[in-house]
Amino acid sequence: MKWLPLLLLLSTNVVAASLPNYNNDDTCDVKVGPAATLLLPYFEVDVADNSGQTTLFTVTNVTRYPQIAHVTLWTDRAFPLLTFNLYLTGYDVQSINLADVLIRGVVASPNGASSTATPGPLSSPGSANLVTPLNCANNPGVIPAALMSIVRSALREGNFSGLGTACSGVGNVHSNAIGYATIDVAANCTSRLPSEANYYTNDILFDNVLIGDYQHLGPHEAGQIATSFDGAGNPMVHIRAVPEGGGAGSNVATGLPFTFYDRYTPATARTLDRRQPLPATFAARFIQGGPNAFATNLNIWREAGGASCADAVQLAAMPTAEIVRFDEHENVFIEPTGINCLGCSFPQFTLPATSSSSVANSSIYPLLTNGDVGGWIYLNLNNGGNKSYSVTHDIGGQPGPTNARTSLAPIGSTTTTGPRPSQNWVTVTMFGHVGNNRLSAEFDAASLGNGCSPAAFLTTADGGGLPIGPAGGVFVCPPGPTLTNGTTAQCVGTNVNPTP
Amino acid sequence: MRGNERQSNAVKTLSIIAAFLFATTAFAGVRDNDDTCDIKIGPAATLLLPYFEVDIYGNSGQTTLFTVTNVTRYPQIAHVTLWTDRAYPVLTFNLYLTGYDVQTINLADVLLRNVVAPPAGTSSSTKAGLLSSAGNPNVQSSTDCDANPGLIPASLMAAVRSALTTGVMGTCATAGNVHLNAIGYATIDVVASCSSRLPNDPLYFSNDIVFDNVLIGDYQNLGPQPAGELPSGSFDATANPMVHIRAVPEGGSAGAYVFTGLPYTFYDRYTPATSRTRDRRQPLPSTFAARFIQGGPASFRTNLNIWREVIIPTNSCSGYEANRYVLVPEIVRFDEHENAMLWGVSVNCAAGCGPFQIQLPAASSTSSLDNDLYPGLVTADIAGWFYLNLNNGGSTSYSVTRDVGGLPAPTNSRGNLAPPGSTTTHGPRPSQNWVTVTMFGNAGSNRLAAEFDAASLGNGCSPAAFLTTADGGNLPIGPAGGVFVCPPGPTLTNGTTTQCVGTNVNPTP
Repeated sequence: MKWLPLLLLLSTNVVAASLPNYNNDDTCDVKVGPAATLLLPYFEVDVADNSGQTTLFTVTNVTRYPQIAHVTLWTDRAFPLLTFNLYLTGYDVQSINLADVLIRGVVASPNGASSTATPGPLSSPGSANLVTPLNCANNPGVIPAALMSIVRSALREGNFSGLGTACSGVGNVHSNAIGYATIDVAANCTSRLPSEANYYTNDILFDNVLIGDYQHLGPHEAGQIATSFDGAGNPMVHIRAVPEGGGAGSNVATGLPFTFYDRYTPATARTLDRRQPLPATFAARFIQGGPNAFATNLNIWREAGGASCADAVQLAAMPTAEIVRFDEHENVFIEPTGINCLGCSFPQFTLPATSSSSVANSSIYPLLTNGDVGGWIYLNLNNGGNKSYSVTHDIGGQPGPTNARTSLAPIGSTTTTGPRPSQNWVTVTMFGHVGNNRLSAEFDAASLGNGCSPAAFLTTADGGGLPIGPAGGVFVCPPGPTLTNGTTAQCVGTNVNPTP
Repeated sequence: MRGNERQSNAVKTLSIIAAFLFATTAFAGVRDNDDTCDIKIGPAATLLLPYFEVDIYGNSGQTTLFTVTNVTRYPQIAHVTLWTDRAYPVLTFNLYLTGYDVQTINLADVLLRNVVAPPAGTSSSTKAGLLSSAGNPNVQSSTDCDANPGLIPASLMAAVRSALTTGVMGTCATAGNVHLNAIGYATIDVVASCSSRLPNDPLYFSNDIVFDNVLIGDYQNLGPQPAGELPSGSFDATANPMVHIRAVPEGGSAGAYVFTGLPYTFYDRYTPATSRTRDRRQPLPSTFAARFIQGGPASFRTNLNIWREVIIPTNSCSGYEANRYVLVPEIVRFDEHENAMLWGVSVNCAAGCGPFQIQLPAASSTSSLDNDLYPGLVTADIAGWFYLNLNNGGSTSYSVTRDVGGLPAPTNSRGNLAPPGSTTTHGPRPSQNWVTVTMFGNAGSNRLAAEFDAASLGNGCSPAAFLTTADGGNLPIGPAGGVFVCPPGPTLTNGTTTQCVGTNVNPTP
C-alpha cells in the first residue's frame, strides 16, 4: 500500500515532466542561432579569376572565450580536401574569401588567424575547453602552392593526387571550383579531417557558440554565363550540439536518433558528435521565365556515404526520391513515370553531394509546361538510405547503434536501405532583370519536417498513398477539441517522431 | 532475510522506475516536430513580414513583395494584416489558397493600385489543382471567401496610405511615424473564415484563428537602399524567408483553447484576458547577434531591419504615440579586432540621458552608420557585429501563463522570465523582437545587396537578459543562459567543472 502513493506520485511526475519544455538547444529543429557546426552548403569560385565569382563566409564567436573554428572544404562528391583552423578570440569575427584561399593560397590574409592575436577588452585570454598547450600560434596564413594546386584540381576536375593517394573522380568536372564547407568548434588546431574517427574522440567540442553567414558574389543561373555582377547572402546552416557542452570528445547521451556526422563517427559511438541531423523533405519556391527573365537555382547539399576515393566515385550522382513541381495554379508536374524505379527509361533524377542547378534543367526537375512564371517544388531528397548510416537506440539505458531498418525507415518508405533517411539542405537563389540591372537573392527553403522525422513515403503525385505535406501529415489535433466542422475523423496527423 | 529480499526487490523496482522516468523525460520533445520555442523555416500558423517599404509615388520602383504557399492539399485562408510602424493595424484582407496554392502579393499593387492579387483577388471560386482537396474541415464556410476583394475602395486605400506615410489614420494623427515611403509590417495568420477582424480584437482569437502549421512564405525587397540615403542610380533586390511562427501544440478547431507549454505567445498583448496563450503562437526572442559591413573602397553599408513588440495594446489613438519611443536597453558594437564600442553612457537610464537614449519603433530599417542609434565605429575596420538586447523593458500589459494545478493561469506580475535586475523593469517577461540584416556594396557600377536573418541568442522562452559587462553589468555578452553549459558527467577539456555556469534550461514562468 505504501508503494501505491509513491507510484502515483511518480506517475504524476511523469505527466508533469512530460509536458513540453522549451529550453534552448533542445530540439531537432535547425534555427539561426549559436551553434557547434556551421555548414556552408555550396561554394563556387572562379579559380581562373576571370569573372570575380566567389563565395565568402564569415564566422563569429559570440562568447568572450576564444574558440577554434575548424574549417574543412569538401568536393561536390563529399571528399574532404583541405582543412584549416581559425583561432577566434572572444567576440571575434573572421571573414574568409574562398578566392583568397583557392586562388591566392592565403587563409585570412596575411598572417592567418592565430592565437597570437590580441584579444579585445571584453575577451577572456583563455578557455577551459581548449587543450594546453595550444597549437594555434602557427595557423597558416599562406598555404603551400603545391597543396593548393592539388585542391584546385580536385574541386574543378575531380582529380586528387596527394598524401600518397591518387584518385580520379573525387569530384565532378566543372570550370569553377565547387564544393561545400563545414566549420566545427574544436579544442585544438588539429589537421584531422571530419572523416577520421579520431577527430570525434579527440578534437571536436560541443559548445554552441559560433554563428556564420555567406555571400555569393557574381552568382548566375546554372548553366549560363554571368553577364553582369550581383551578390546574394544567407546564414550558414547552424547545427547545434544537443545536449550542449563537455570537454573535447566527451561521450554524452543525446536524444537525437542520429547525428549530422553519423557516417564518420566511431562505430561504437555513432552519436558522439551530438550535432543535429538535417531533414530530407523541403518546399522550395521558384520563379522562371516571363518578361523579367526570371530564373531560379536550387542549391542542394546532400549527405553522402563514406569519404574514401571509392565512395566519392560512386557519388557522381545520388538518386532523389521524389520531385514534384506546382505552378501558380496548383497544376502539378512530375516525372514521366513513378520514381525510385531502377531501370526507368527516362533519366533518373540525380544530384551529387552539393550542386546548384537551374529549375529549368529538365534533366533534374519536372518541366514547367504552361505560361506560369512561379510556383514551388516539393523535394524529397532522401537518397534511399545507406547501410553505412546508423541510428542509435536506447537499449536498457545504453545507447546501441544499428545499421538495420528502424522506425525512421518504415517499410515502403523512400528509404530502401539502412535505418533512416539521408540528410539534406536546400537554398533558393532567384534571378530577374529590371532594365539593365540583374537582381539576385538567396534564402533557405522551408523544411517540411526535421532531421528526426522518419523517411517520407512516395506521395500521391507519383502513385504513392500519402499526400504531399508537412512531415507527419495533417490534420494534427491536440487532445480535446474537434476540428472546426465538429469531427475528428481527419485527425490523422502527428508531430511525434518515433523513437528509432 | 525475506524482508531484505523484498526491500531489495523494491529498491530494484524503484531504480527501474527512476531509470524509466529519466529515459522518458530527459529527451522529451527533442525529436518532435513543432514542439519547441525555437523559430525555424518550416510550415507555420503565422508568418511575420517584419518590415515593408513601398514608394507609393511609383518613382523609384521600390517595393516589397511577399509570397504565401500552402503546403497541404486542403484549402487554407491566409489572413493578412498590414500594420504601421507604431503597430497600428490599418488593413486586413484574406487570401484563399487552394491546396498547394502559392500566392504572391506585390504591396505596390495594394498600396499604389488598390488591388489585392490582380486582377480579381483570391476567392474560393478559384479552381483547385489536380492534387488539391475541395474542402477543409477547419474552414467554417468558404462562401464568405467568394467575394475576396480584388479591388479595394480608393477612399479606404487613401486612408491606409496616409497612415503608413504620415501617421494620420482618420481622426488619429499618431498612428505611425512620418516618412516618404509607406513603411510598416505585416502578419499573415491561418484562419477559419474570411474574417475582417483585426488581430487586436480578442474575438479574432476565439472565433477566427486556427492552429494548423501549413503556411510557408518569403519576401523580396526590390530597390532597397541604405537607410538615410537617396536611391542610387542602380537597382537591386534582396529576399528572405518571412518569420515562421508555429502553433504549439498544433491543431484543433477555430479558436480552440488548448493548453500550451509556451509561457506566453506571439499575440499575447491582444488575446482575451482569461486565455492569454489562446493563439498558441511561438514567442520571439529579444537578444540577437547581427553582422555589419560599413565603409571601405566598396562603400559597404548595412541596414538593420528590426521588428519590435509594442507596449500599448489598446485601440486608443493616443497610445500609439508611445510606440514611437520604445527604448532599447543595450547595443554593443564589436569591430573585426574585438574592440567593443558603446553608447557614451550606460543605458537603462531614465529620460534625460541626452543623445544616448535611443528608441526604435515597431518596425524600422536603420543604417549601422546612424550614430543616434548605434555606437559609432571609431576604428578603421569595415566590419564586425552588434550585440542587440531589444527588450523594451516590459509592460504590465504583457502576460505569462503558469500551470497552476493543471490549469493555465495568466499573470502580469514579475516572474522567472523577468528576474530582478534584468532589463525587464515592468511586467512578467521581455518583449519580442526580430532582426534581419541588409548588406550593401559596390562592385564597379553594380550595387550588391543581400538580406538575411540575424542570429538569435536565445529563444522566446528565455528570460530577460541582464545588462552586460560592456555596460557596467555583471554578465558577459553571449548565448542566453551563458557558457559553459555542461551536461551531467564530463568535465571541460581542462578537467574542471568550475566554469560550468551556463544552462540551456529556461525557467517555468
